Amino acid sequence: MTTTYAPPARPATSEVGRSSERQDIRAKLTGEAVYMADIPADDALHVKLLRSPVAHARLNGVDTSGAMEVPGVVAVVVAEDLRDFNGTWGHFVRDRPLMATDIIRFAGEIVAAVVAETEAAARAAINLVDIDYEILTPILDVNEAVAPGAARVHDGPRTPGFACPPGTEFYDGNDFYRYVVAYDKNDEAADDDLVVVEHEYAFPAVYQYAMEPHAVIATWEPDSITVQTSCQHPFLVREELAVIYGMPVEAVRIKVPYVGGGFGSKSYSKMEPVAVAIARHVGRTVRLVNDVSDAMVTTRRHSMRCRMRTSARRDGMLVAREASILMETGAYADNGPTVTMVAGMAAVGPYRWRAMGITASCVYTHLPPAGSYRGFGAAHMQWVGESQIDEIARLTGLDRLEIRRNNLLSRGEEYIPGQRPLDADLLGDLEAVAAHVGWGDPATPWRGRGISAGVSPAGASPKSQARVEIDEGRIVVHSGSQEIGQGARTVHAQIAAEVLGVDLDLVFVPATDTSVTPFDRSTGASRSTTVAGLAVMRAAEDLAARVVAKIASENGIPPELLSREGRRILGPDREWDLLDFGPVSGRGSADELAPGLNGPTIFWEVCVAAAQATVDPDTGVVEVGDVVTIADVGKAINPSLVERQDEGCTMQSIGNALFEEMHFDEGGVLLNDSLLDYRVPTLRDLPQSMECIIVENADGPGPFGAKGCGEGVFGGLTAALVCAVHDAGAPIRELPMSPDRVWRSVQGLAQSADR
Amino acid sequence: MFADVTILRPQTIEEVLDLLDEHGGEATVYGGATELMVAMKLGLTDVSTLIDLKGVPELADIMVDDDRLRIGAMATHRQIESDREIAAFLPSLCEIERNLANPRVRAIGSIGGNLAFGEPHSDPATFLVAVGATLECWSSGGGRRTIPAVDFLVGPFESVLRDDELLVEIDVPRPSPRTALAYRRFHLSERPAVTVAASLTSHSGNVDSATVVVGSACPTPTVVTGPVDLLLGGGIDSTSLLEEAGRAAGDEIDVEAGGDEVYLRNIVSVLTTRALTAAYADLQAREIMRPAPSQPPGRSWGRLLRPW
Repeated sequence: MTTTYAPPARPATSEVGRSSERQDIRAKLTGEAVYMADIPADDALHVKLLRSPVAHARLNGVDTSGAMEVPGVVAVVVAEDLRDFNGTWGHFVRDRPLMATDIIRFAGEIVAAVVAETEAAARAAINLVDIDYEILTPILDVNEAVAPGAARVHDGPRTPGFACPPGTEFYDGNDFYRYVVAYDKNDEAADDDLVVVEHEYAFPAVYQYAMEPHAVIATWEPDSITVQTSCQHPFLVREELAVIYGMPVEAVRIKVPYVGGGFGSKSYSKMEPVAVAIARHVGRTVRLVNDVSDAMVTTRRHSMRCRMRTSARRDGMLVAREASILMETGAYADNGPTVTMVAGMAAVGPYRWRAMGITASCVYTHLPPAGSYRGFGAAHMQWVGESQIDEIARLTGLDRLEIRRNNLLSRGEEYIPGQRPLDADLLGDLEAVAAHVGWGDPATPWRGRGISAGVSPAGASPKSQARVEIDEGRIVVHSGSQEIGQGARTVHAQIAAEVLGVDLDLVFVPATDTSVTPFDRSTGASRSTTVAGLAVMRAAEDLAARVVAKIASENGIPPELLSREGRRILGPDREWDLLDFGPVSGRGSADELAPGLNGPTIFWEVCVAAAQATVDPDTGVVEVGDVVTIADVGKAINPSLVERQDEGCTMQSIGNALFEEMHFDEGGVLLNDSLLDYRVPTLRDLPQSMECIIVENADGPGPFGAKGCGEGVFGGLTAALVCAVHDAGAPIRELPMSPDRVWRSVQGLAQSADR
Repeated sequence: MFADVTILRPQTIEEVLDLLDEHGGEATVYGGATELMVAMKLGLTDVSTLIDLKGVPELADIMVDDDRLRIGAMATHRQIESDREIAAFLPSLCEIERNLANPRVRAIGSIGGNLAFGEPHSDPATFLVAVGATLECWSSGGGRRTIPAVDFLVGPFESVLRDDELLVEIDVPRPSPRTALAYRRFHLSERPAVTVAASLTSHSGNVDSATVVVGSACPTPTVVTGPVDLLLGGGIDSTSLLEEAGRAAGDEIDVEAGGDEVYLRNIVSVLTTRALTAAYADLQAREIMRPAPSQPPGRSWGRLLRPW
């Protein structure tokens, strides 16, 4: 047991706080990393889906005979084939059939699946399936959907899904879910001399555009289901499949290979339920790979329309805000209610108000379903609220930074009644970004600056577990948080390396296999470092404690005479190396984050940014100047990864704010369903400069005082850009700020949101 | 991904022409296939026989002789943007190619393919009309036609090229040393939304000839006459004249159906003004034309480029 190895003494935090190289960088750069669509599946049948060409129709029948004649075709599966079980699914609302039954609710809804020995045969046969349908009038506009007497996309009542928070109230109309913030603290006489700003606003449907579309390989056996899938929430996919197919969760096994990006598009279940249904029907393993055009009608970001009113006293002290928000979730709820709740929270704004009246409604339409996308809610609403704060400043003659200084919440103050109090120094963050964009410098024609502040609930749930093992002289970290490009595995390895005092290259974080990996609720809500990371930290601590206990008992040494310095365990007259003790494993969870929790907010993710913008008044083209974002992370476990997160989100925010938009025709069919026609940001769209200011106040609930990052930019920067473009001379109330809209604003022509 | 196709790989122009003759319209030639693949994926074409031109080296030659720039139809955008002879002969073409589409398309896509496909949103198509390019089109049995670029396209995705004909070469006459060329593009997505090429020539100190071509916003590249009528024969004594010329272009073109007409006409106007302003500035810098009298300040933001 004795070892002569004496590792050098390490400073207290040697691995945490270091910009260590990503664990997956080599595999990804060399092409060694295998993604879902390239996983060999020699014995699998290939699936191509026939999707509805129309948004709303009565489905009278499907003629599969032509397709069945194509050589290599094994089966053509339609809803009729799946009637021996209740396949209605959805984690929040069970509202979604595996395939359209009698009613088609969006253009892109799955109507049939061709299953064939080759992908080519499946593709060839899919065009030979005939759908007999009778077109009905689709509801495509949220205002139309909530109008009195509007036809209903779904009849009530709603069936809650397995992940629906208990007590959630649903409604029978198309606006089936509402989130309300309402209070009135006004104990003084009502001010009648108020400055009031009120407008309507609109936000576009956009697509997350993970580079890798959804892909699944599924095997069904009478007593088990095995699925390989590119997903963010394997444990919730497992639960969804267990619910649909009536199996215990232990009978469902989900394995996740390298994931080519998520951004929310692979949250919860997407293609897995239908893939398993097809595997079950044909009795063989099936492989289903979405094209980009499939993926774009699988999930997207909600479009939004709202009316907001903000009032203040003549001295610029804010008084009240009201907003009526319609979040357009498409034909099925997906994560719409959560997105709606967070949008309602973001609409409040981090200021001291006397009265608040926010209603955010989640609304069904006959468009493809919308779900999670990075920074949801904050991206939708922070720019609306912040542009009204700017307008109040203009009307009261105050500087836009000054009005925020006078009204911003301080640490410890309540943001939303019943929720975690504010846990960050927003004013400090805001002053830092304002200084960076030259706040107070003289104005220049057609150039503007914007600053914005907000917070968004993050962490989602404390349900994360981890297991850390010593195995053959190495440390293995089992965490169910998915590596989707954000660097979660690297951060988890760093946390374990830090706690155990081992070099990072001795720590390995394997891919998730739900039959081996401990439970982790989800990879989203910026929770991987804070929540899953805390579980890793606790598991590493547990591992060290177990090794110390083992040494004590095996050597008859009282535990109090043993101490640990990194990987060295020191006894009265000898020492041991932690890595010599395999196999030992430690377990940890983030349960300690649960007590006192109100709502989903484990911490408030800070959404503070500033930007400069130039408007070309002749063309309406906006050029983004310097951009600065705040990563208020408590403690940066890996500063480089924090910066890369903010940079990536900066680019996505620029796309969403300036040009990304899904276009649907008058029948509800998506027109720009490829990269040729759906423009994503490229290197040419980079701002003049990007700066990420890392703020480390050790005020997070995660390991080493950390809290999550990577999504706040979407709220902060979208708002800063809108404010900068307004400051440059073009007030905009409908995103994206595409050149035509900006030009119309400059020319004083009507924008459609106010039409 | 596609139904089965036969790909033929000839090695000489003669072989290509024979294959075209033999298949009589049933076969389609392709180069980089950057447009063809998209059309095939969308199911817009059901060709079963493809003739790959990438194995015909003589189709990719670039040379200058007899005061003509001769660009083989299969020269890639990358080849053109980095070619030294073109940089000396027609630098604005290098500039256009450098900004075209994206690096992947530039690496594999050819100038001949770009023209022959007839995609209305094309940079080279607009520019080549303005510089008076001609297109050499051959058919088997020694058939030869020289088609002015301005006559080549007759509608979106529609050229005068016959089924048995191959676009072999693009010829550009050497511009006069007293000519200035300028090109402006505006894009909202991958392909340009508006393209404008302008050419000004001065022998006398006045504008002695002018050409303005508008593309992408209209079904085919269009030579507009309104701006030319305003400029021809005179000096340029104010920037407002160039703005007026821009507006004339915006008013004159047939805007593509289904677009945002008001906005597109505005962009055509703005780009025309900017292209003419740039060409005029070039002539001034080379002391071929006199500077206009100084203008009152105000709209000096006309040519914003990374202003921060």
